[in-house]
Amino acid sequence: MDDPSQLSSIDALRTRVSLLERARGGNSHPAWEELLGYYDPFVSKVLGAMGFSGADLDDARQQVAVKLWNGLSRYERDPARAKFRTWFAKLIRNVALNIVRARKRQPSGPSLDDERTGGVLELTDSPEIEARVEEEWQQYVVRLAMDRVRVKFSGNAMEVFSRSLAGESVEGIAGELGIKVNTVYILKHRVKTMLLREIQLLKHDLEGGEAGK
Amino acid sequence: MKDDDAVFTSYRALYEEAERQLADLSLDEEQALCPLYHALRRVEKRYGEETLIGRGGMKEVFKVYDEHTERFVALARPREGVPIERYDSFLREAHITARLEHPNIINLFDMGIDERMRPFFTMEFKRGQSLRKILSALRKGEAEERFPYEARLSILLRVCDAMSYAHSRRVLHLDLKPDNIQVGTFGEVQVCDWGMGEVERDGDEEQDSVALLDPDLYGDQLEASIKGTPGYMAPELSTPRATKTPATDIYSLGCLLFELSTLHRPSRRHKLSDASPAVAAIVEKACAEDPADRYPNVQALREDVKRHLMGYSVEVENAGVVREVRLFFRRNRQLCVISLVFIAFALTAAVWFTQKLSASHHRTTEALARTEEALVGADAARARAEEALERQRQEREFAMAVFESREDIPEANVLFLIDFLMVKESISLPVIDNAMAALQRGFESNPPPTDRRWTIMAHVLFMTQRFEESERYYAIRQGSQKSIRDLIPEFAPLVAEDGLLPVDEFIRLLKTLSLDSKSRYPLMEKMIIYDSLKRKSLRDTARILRVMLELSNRGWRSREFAYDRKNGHLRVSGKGLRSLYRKGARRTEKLVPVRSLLRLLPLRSLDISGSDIDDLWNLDGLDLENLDIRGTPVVDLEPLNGMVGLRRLVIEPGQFDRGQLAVLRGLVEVVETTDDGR
Repeated sequence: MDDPSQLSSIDALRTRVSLLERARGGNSHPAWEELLGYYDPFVSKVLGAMGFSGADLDDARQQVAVKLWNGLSRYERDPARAKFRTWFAKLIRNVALNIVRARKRQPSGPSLDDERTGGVLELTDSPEIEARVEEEWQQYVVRLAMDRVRVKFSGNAMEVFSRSLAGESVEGIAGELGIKVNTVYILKHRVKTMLLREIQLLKHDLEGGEAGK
Repeated sequence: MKDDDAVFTSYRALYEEAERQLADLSLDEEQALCPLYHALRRVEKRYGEETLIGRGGMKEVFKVYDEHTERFVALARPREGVPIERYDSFLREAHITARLEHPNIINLFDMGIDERMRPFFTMEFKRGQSLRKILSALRKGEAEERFPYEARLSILLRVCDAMSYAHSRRVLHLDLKPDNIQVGTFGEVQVCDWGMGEVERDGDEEQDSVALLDPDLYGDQLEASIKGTPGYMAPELSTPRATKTPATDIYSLGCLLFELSTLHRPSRRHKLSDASPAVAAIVEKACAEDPADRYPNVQALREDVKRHLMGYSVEVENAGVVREVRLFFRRNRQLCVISLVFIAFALTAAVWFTQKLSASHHRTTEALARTEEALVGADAARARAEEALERQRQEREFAMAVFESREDIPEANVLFLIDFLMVKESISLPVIDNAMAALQRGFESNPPPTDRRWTIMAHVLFMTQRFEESERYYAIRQGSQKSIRDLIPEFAPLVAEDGLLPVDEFIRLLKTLSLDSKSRYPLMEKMIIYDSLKRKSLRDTARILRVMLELSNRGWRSREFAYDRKNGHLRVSGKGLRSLYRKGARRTEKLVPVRSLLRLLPLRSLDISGSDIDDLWNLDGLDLENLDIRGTPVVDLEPLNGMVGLRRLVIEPGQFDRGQLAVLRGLVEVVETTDDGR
């Protein structure tokens, strides 16, 4: 391995200006829009899982976005910062809790959405919610990476990889798809290598340069 | 859900693996990712074990495995012991081969220096045999089914393709022979061993490599003993300084053709009779002693071989027609049979069709002829009209001159004038009217002393159906004109607005006049002449003329009188019809010529067949194109010579003898027929 630079893009990733940095560089509204385009579906999904819906969900989503915008730079400058997903999960949970609590303090006021408020409290109060959000984020990033990788392969490659993820043996896959074991092995590794690289890229873009650590 | 959990776990694992930063792929992973790259990296020695497959004067050729491209290639290297100063001539072959990219020329892959500092080059390695081996086998009676005659000549065509291309790149092989031609397992043909090759001189050397291949530099290095191979060697090659041209290769191709077709060695070319006439002719030309007598280029040779192969006669063969036909039939047997059947059918159809066409053509021609006739007729009519116009002008001038100097004119002359005017064809009405007006003015201003002139004036007015006016003159001059004058009260009131009597009244007048004790026929003729000029209806005029003819031909029975205005055709016949003149007229009458009454009708065609008209002078004054005189007692055709427009005369067979017809001087088409065209 005299020259692994052709195979690893880590160095390239380190020097690459992340989407987050560009968004924060000010004036670059489109960059933030793009970044939010990645966060937003995740935030909606998590808040939805917590029980938010309709106008409540929209409200919570907006608050998360604002807090992200303000908090990301502070998070990046913090030398003792936690993992991004931990920080992000905490941020989302805090927003959710604040909304629910604020609503409890003004019981006379009409709820924005009468149906689901009760459930939201239960969920957001639960201590393991943060861990679950963290896991959701990991999955979310891997799925995004998978989507990106999928378009780059043709033939059996993705099928081989999905089956291998689901736990099928290399021999089993080879048998079912009618290809050589060695080919399965090569295909699996090709997709995996590509996928790992995409995950790194996404983390670099979305997790505030954490990849550099 | 269990599956979801598994996927979720693996996703987290992937995420965490990426998080561990993937500093390096493991070697295994990397090899899995790009096994070819790794295999190439692993190669330390590119060319593996060598198997000797050929040895020439200077070089050896091995079959080796190329670890880089993972295939067998042919590797050439100078033989052990070849001194370093001969390395360049070894490399020439590689350079020449590198210049040539053609499917029928061996491909050069690589050239270089090996670890022992020896030059080498590699070429594609084809499984197959040299053509020499194939020919040997064929001579032993083997491989005939794999290489029948046609297949062998196809090999030659491939070689021609290669040489044609090489010559286009100005490269000469100079050592073409079966040993240097490889035939692959799938019939691929490749020309190899370009070691003797030369690059033809050209005005400007475009590349250094070309200069490197300069025969002046390297020609000496090729030993005379190994240069060329006997049998295939063109005679000029034995002259070392002779210029090499494509003709040298063409000679070798001729030898190759000879050997491929007869399986004899070229050294036995006297057995050319074993070859087919076509091949013999091609070989003769390709192997001509003088290069200038050979084919001008490989393409020409190839064409001839190709033609021979396809069963055509060969350019150089000068094949006769019979051989051409036989060759054609041989190569197109089935097609020929089909064609013959088709041709037979087509001929039948063509004959039938031609007949139809000829009939149609005939009809067309007839129609055209009719059209032409009509055009000629129209032309003639126009000419006549123009002529008439001119005459009218002259007549008017003449008439004016006469009447303006009336004092000096004797009565006889006046009468003559009137007669003359009246009788002449195509007299225009205004001339008469003008003349009469002048006459009248003369009478009024200077009443003539003599009765005769009054009588003339009265007659003229009567003649022109101006009965009331004429009464005045008759009143002055009584006498022998009484019978005419007596008619005036009866007919004067009947004159219509156009100044003429209705046709029935006019006929009645004519009939009345015919009963006059005095002969009134000259007057009557003048009357109908004037009347015909003024009367608009030709049908009426025809009726009037018929009456006149009846009056002239007292014995006319079974009268036929049919006038076709449109075609200008008149059929007038019947027993007893003898004259077409007014009654009493005799042609010998001087001064005023007697003319046929029929001239008052526009006539182009006249049918008097079956009538008793015996004298064609009766037609005097007519200008006919067609005349039918069948069954008439006519003897003399001479009068027809005056009828300049006559084109067609219909007679009965035998009606006239040759002598009688001779008077027509062949100007008229004489149609002898009994067929009743009517």
